[in-house]
Amino acid sequence: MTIAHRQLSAYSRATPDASSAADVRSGPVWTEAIIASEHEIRASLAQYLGRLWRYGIVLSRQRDVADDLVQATCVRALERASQFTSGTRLDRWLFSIMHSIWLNEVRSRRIRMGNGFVDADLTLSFDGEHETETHVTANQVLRQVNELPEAQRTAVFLAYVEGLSYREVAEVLDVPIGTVMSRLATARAKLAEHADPDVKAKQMKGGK
Amino acid sequence: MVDLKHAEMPSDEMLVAFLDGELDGEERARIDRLIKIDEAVAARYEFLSRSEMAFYDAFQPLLENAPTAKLEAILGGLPASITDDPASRGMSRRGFMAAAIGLVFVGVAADRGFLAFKQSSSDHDDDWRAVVAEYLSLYTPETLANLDSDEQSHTAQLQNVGDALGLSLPLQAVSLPGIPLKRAQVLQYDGKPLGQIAYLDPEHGPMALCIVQSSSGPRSPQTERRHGMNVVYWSDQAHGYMLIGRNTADELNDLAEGVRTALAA
Repeated sequence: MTIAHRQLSAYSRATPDASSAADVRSGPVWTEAIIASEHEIRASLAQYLGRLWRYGIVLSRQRDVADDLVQATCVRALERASQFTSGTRLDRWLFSIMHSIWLNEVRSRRIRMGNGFVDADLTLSFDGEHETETHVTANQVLRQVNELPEAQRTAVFLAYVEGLSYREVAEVLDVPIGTVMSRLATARAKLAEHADPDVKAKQMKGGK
Repeated sequence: MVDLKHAEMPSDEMLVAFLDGELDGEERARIDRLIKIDEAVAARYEFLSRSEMAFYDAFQPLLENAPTAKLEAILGGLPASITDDPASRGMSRRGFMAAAIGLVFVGVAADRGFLAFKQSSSDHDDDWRAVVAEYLSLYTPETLANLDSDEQSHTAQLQNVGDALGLSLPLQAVSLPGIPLKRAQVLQYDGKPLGQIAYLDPEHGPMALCIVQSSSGPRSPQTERRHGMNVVYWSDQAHGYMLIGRNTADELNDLAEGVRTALAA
């Protein structure tokens, strides 16, 4: 199986690093370079806010938490602007930052605090009375994905909604590619069980 | 023979990777061949294929309903760290990050004052206007053009909206001079009813008067701009209102004043 042999490029630039804030910037040259990239990232961040928020919803299932996750992700992205490799995809980098904040700093804390998760209903569709057929189907898909365990839900979202490749999903989630494959396979088997065999969607992948 | 075939049964992982176009040439050809010659493999493949759904489309509404204005305000409110005094930068930024993350699990809107995002005016009242503006920005004249315009159905629709929101909405009070009313419907924002009365201005296109229940108390009309449209918003004891459209701010103010007076009567 060829894909598993591909080397994952180290995503160490997105891993938490306690001493990143104030150490390296000494000379004027450094400072200038950092100003440039921080400004660039700040400017580009604006266009990804919606997609980051949506990923925040997929992770937390709560609007308030999604708002705060976007905020924390923006703060950290600006803080680490110098670690972003220009020429690579900024959206992927931002997803991986949000995921690491969620996993390491928010989710674990919430569970420890005994908050657990609010199983919020993701009924963000507006129209109650005039639901078209497309909306009904869309809501069913949303509900089924929402019912998947978190690890499968995030893999499905990143691969099939955001259109990331397996390798990119592995990088964002910071897991081996084989883990991504098994999460997707388990999720697909579960979704297939509930699916109507006659209905096959025309369009599945979007982001690519 | 059967045993041999079953020995070749690929894992679900491989079949799904095949479906997703993630396999390289040789591997892909092998799976493709197995699906064609082995009934058991074909059956499993067919079963897994049922999970092909319109994932992309299903998650589109979430994107459309993202509180973009609020998030932009948050981003705009983040300090430009690099211009700070370098000596204090490390501490203040670390502190800021800690505060930002702290909020996530405290999750209390009131605490946002701590971050001094004053300019982002993060009170909840703004959120619904942002969502409505974003939603209306998707309307074109064609969205509303083919809707029936008879008084009887409008009166019935307004009755529904009024019932959902607990107020009376006589057709006359919400009619705008020279701008036909097209539809009144109940939408939903954060689990609460949101009334939307849509109009089609022959000159400026779609307009809407939107109403939510609100306990923030009476406020006189104010104007703002969202998504390239003008907004006039106000509230009374029990409801918040907004009139939104591409009309000029002055024109919208006059129209809003007419509605406000008529509804208060």
